[in-house]
Parts: sequence; structure tokens; C-alpha cells
Amino acid sequence: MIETLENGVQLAVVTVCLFFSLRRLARERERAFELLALFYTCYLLGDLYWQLHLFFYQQTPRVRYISDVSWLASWLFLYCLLRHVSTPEERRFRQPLLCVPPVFAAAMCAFFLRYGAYLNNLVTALMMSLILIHIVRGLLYLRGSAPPRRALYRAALFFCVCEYAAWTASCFFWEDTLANPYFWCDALLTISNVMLFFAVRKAVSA
Amino acid sequence: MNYIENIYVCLAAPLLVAALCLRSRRRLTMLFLLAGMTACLLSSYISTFLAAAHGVDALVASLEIAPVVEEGMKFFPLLFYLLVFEPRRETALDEALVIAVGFATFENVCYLTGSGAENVVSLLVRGFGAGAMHVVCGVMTAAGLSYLWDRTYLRVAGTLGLLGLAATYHAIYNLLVSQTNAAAVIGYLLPVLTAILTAALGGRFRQTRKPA
Repeated sequence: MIETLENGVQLAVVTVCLFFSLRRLARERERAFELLALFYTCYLLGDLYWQLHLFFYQQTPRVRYISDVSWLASWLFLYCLLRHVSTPEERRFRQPLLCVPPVFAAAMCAFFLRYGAYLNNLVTALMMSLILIHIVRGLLYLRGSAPPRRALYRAALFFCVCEYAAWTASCFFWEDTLANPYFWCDALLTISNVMLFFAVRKAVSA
Repeated sequence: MNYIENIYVCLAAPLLVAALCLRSRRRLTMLFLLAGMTACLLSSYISTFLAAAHGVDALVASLEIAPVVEEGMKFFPLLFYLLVFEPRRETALDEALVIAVGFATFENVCYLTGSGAENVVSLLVRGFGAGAMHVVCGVMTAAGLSYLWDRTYLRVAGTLGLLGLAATYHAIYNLLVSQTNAAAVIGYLLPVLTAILTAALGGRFRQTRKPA
């Protein structure tokens, strides 16, 4: 019940974000909104498929290709969005701290591999490494200055942190009650989707 | 057994002859129609294999395996065309549509041979529903790619991302039409409405965009 309610709220919020992204895209013709709209669409369809399957069959999908492929697609578009707003100088910036994201993603992958879904966990770790490297590089490069795209990097970082928190919580807590931290993390994930829209709007309007 | 290979040979033969007799763009269109039907045939083999590998039945395979396989197989002829011939955007969209039509046509013929042709209403619903769905997925992928084709990283990421998007849309359609109530009606109407909406709104997005 709580999961259905929580998923329903997330679906509604992502749909609204998608609508506003498409409206912005129609008005401003900015590639950033194109990529953001694709991100929201993939995320929405992955959630929608998962929820519909739960609704009709009272269980999660046995073979998880569809939702996982959809969420992976959304992360791909998030990566493209981050790359699109960055400058060539920023992408050439190198710093030892850039080793932290892949090490973190690898460690989390090793932990999640205990629960199976080997291919999915490996691909997720690779995707998250790419996104986190880009975010960390952007934040380090822009340290001391305040260009609008910093907000986007912060929003994307919050999104990634919420994703990892939700995945970790789902390994230990399975009750369908409000006391389950997984639902709090998923609620924060919903908020991070809204933050991404405002961050992209700020980054583009500068 | 429904002898889909025999059905394929029967349908493909006149298309191949026509392709030999036609010239330039029309020949290409006929070949893409054939490519769509070939993709459908190969998808059935791959989906069956993966279903057996995962130990799932036909229903679960249609909901959770077939969409990914079918969208992937439909995409290969288009990807070859985009990479080798580098066509104009409108041409790529047209050929993606033709591949999807070939796929949907062969799928419907196989459905006919398996389920019979008595109930014209059910066939009408299935024909338009499945046909529109395949066309929407094919055009979605092609249209998205044609807008993302100008940068290498966007080509790669966009290809994978749009395939994921099309596969999920296809899976949601399969999930809805596998029900027997209002959900099935929504499922059959969904691609038709999406196609109408896309055609109506497509003009707004077809104007020149700001440079990336």
C-alpha cells in the first residue's frame, strides 16, 4: 500500500516535470531541455512499467530487463545532459579526487553483487561512475566560482546519492510501512527530480 | 507448429522480386519492408531462446523479454542505414516507419495463422493496435536519433537510450493488452493516440533548433 502510494506520487511528480520540460523545449528549442525531457520520459516509463506489473500481477517482474533498461536509459540521458552543459576546458580538467567516484561505485557494486543481477549491477556501476566523475569534476573545476551549472551538478549529485541510499536500504528493509527507510530515500529521489528541472532551467537561462 | 519460416518465404518472395524490379528509393523502401519482416522472424527465435534460458512461460516472455528483443532487432537495419548511407532526417524517419510496418505486418500474419481469422473486430483492434505501436516505437527511435546524431557521444548514448525508451513503451503496451478489461482497451488505444499526438505536435518540433 505504502509502496503503491509512494510510486504513484513519484509518477505524478515526474509527469509534471516532463510536461514542463516539453513546454520549455517547445518555447526555447534548447538541447538541454531535450535531454532532460528524454531523461524524465525514460524514468517515468520505467516506473510506470514497474507499478503496472505490481498492480496487475501483485509481484515485481521476474526478468527485470524492461525497467532496468529504462532506468539505465534515463541515466544515459542524464550523463548526456551533464556533458552538454560542460565546457571543453572543464572536461579536460584532471584531479586525483576523480578516482573517488569509480572506487565508490565499484565498492557498492561488489556489495550489491551479493544479491544477484550481476550484469545489471555491473552496468549500473559503470553508468554511475561516469555520471559521478562528471559531477565531481564539474564541482571541483567550478570551486570558488558560482556559474549556474553548479546547481545542476549539485542536483545531479543529490539524485545519485538518493539512488544509492534507496538501493542500499532495499537490501536490509522490506516492510511495506512508513518506518522503512527505503521509502524516505525514494521520496527524496522524487524531490531530486524536481530539483533537476529547476537546475537545468537555471543553467540554460544564464 | 505455425511454420513461420514458410509464411516468411511466401511473403518475402514477391517483395524480393519487386525490389529487383524497382529503382533507387523505391527499391530501398521495399528492402526495408523485407528487413522489418526478417527482424520479426529473428526476434521470435531470440525471444524463445531467452524465455527457455530464463525458464519463463510465453506470457512472461511477451511482457519482459520480447519488447527488448523486438526493438533491438527492428533497430539494426536502421542503424546500418544511418551509419553507412548517412541519409537526410526525413528519409531516415520514412525508412524507420517502413521497417516497423514490415515487422507489424509479419507479426499480424503469424497471429492470424495461430489464432484464426473469424473475429474481424478483434483482428481490427489487434491490427491497428499492434501496427500503431510498432510504428510509434520505430519512429520514436528514428526521430530521436536524427535529432541527436550531430555529436558522437550523443549518437552512442542516444541510440542506447532511445532503444530503452522504445522497449519500455512496447512492454507497457504488452502489459496492458494482456489484461481483459478496461486496461486492454487503454492498451490498444495508447499507440493510436500517441501516433495522432506525435503527428499533430511533430510540426512544432521540426523547426530549426538552436545550435548545440
